[in-house]
Amino acid sequence: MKKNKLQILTNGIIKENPVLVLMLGTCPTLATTTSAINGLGMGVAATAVLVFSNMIISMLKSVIPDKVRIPCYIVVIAGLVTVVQMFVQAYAPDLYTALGVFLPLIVVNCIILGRAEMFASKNSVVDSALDGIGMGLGFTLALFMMGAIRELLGAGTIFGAPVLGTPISIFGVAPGGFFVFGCLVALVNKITKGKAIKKKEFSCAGCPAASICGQAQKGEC
Amino acid sequence: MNMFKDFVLPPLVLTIICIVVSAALVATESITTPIIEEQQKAAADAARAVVLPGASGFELLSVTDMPEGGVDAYKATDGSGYVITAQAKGYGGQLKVMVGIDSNGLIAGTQVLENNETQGLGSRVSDASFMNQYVGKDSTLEGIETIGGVTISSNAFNKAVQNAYQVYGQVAGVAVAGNERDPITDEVKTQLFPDVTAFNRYAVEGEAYKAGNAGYIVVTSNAGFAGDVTTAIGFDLNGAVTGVVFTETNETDDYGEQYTRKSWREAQVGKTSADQLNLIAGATVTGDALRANFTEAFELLATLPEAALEYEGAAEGYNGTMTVYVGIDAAGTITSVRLGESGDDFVTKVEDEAFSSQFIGKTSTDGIETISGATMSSTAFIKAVDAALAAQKGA
Repeated sequence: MKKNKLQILTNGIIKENPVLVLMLGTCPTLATTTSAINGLGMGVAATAVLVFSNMIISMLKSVIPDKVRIPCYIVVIAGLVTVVQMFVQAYAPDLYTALGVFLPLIVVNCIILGRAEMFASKNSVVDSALDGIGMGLGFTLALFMMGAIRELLGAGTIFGAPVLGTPISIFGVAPGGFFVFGCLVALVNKITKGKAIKKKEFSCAGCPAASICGQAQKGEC
Repeated sequence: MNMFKDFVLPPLVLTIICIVVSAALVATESITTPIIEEQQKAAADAARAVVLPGASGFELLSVTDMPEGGVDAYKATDGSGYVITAQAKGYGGQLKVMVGIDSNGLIAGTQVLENNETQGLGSRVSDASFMNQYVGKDSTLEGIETIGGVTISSNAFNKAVQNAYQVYGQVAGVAVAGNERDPITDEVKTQLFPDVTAFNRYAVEGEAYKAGNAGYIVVTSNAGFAGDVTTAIGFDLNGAVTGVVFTETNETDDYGEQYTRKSWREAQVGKTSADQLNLIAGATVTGDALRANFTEAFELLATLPEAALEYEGAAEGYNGTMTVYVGIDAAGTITSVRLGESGDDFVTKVEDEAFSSQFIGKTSTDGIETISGATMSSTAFIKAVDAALAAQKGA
């Protein structure tokens, strides 16, 4: 299954949207999307790390033995996040303050590990970079949309500017997050007519734990 | 089976990757750490310079025994003043305020660091029009006007500034106006004991009075939901509650406010311990404050029968009349001396431990040494103590 470069780039935005279709990174998605700017910040920071980690892992794919690939990926990703964090703190302190806790949180963002395992370890450096950009855009878009909806309904503001009169504060807390998340997943399913989630490519066989789990061949997790 | 490929290579590769990544981290850290530290210091100094204009560098002071509400204290390296952060409870949690105090002890600027007050109401204490009132004020903070409709947050701001002055007083080693509450009025005393005319204050930590031969009044205060809840509690000679008066409370209507109603106050009469209080569900914060008030009051009450009473004495000082409060126990021995009012310039000297401790344990002022450089004031102080001793003998 060879895809052209444009397809790789655009795949992540809707068809294989990491959050809304692949269901990866749900935890940071729910936790950080209390406002549009938070969602956007988390998305941009994760995208940067995703692009670099995809490239590095793609470069190292022939060197890393299969048995220890997961720890290797984690070391690379964690190291990368820390390096990025220190540079941002040193040279862009305003951005660092704005991103706050989201920066170190990227280490545990499973989209990055997921793409390393599912894509970068099997594809060329350029393709991996494009996949990283595409997935990052999809992640950012999903987070921004969730953040914007929750901020609008939960706090009555957009980017901190007041818009609505009486906010529905439950949208700012966890149940509202799940509700908006569910609605967006349903919306994406509607747009793609349910085709998106049926793709085998990222089904159980694509799961990082597939080899340990051993159930993938039977079509269950 | 290839031993090398299966068992040696995987850990080896992982180790190498770890080493490379660690090296990259070390390299990055050595580049960025000095820059980060510089920036953090500059950002913090810049924030402090906002409240103390003109100062360029600051050093953190270690404050042993930090006064209540104090957070931290910095001294300008050029000696132009101090920047102190302190907090007080507002409507939406702790209101944290940074106060710049210049070398004359006057406020150079204030800045709200954390404001969780209601948007559009309490948040207005961050407005320049409110904060600018404080510029140039000394520790008495006289003439500050609260924002109409924003009383709780304004008071919290004021309290935070007072707390900052307590820290200042300690780090700069100067006397500052206390932020103790005012003593209760005679009206409150009469409300608790309508038949008693003579109330004598006890010379104890805290505020307590002997109500003639009818009982005691103990005043205690704890933080409630919206500022302090201060109660004056009357006790009979057997230690049972005879009445409760709220002297300071801003608690929310229909929640904490329920405690201040006559029905609740009267229901507490006859209680002999804080555990017997009737607490109202849904007003937990106020209830906790009251429980603490009663607990402290009962604790203080237990010490009162043995405690010394305070007697007032007055004498002519260098600049007007000086009043002194002297704690004298039943045997006529002085247990404490406390300066009341005075207009003297060097009056803080008589509050020095070296001078005031001379009185403790004595039954007269014979042999007390005056302070050179403040002879008039210290002589007046001694005379006032004499007057208090005479008042005790006459009583």
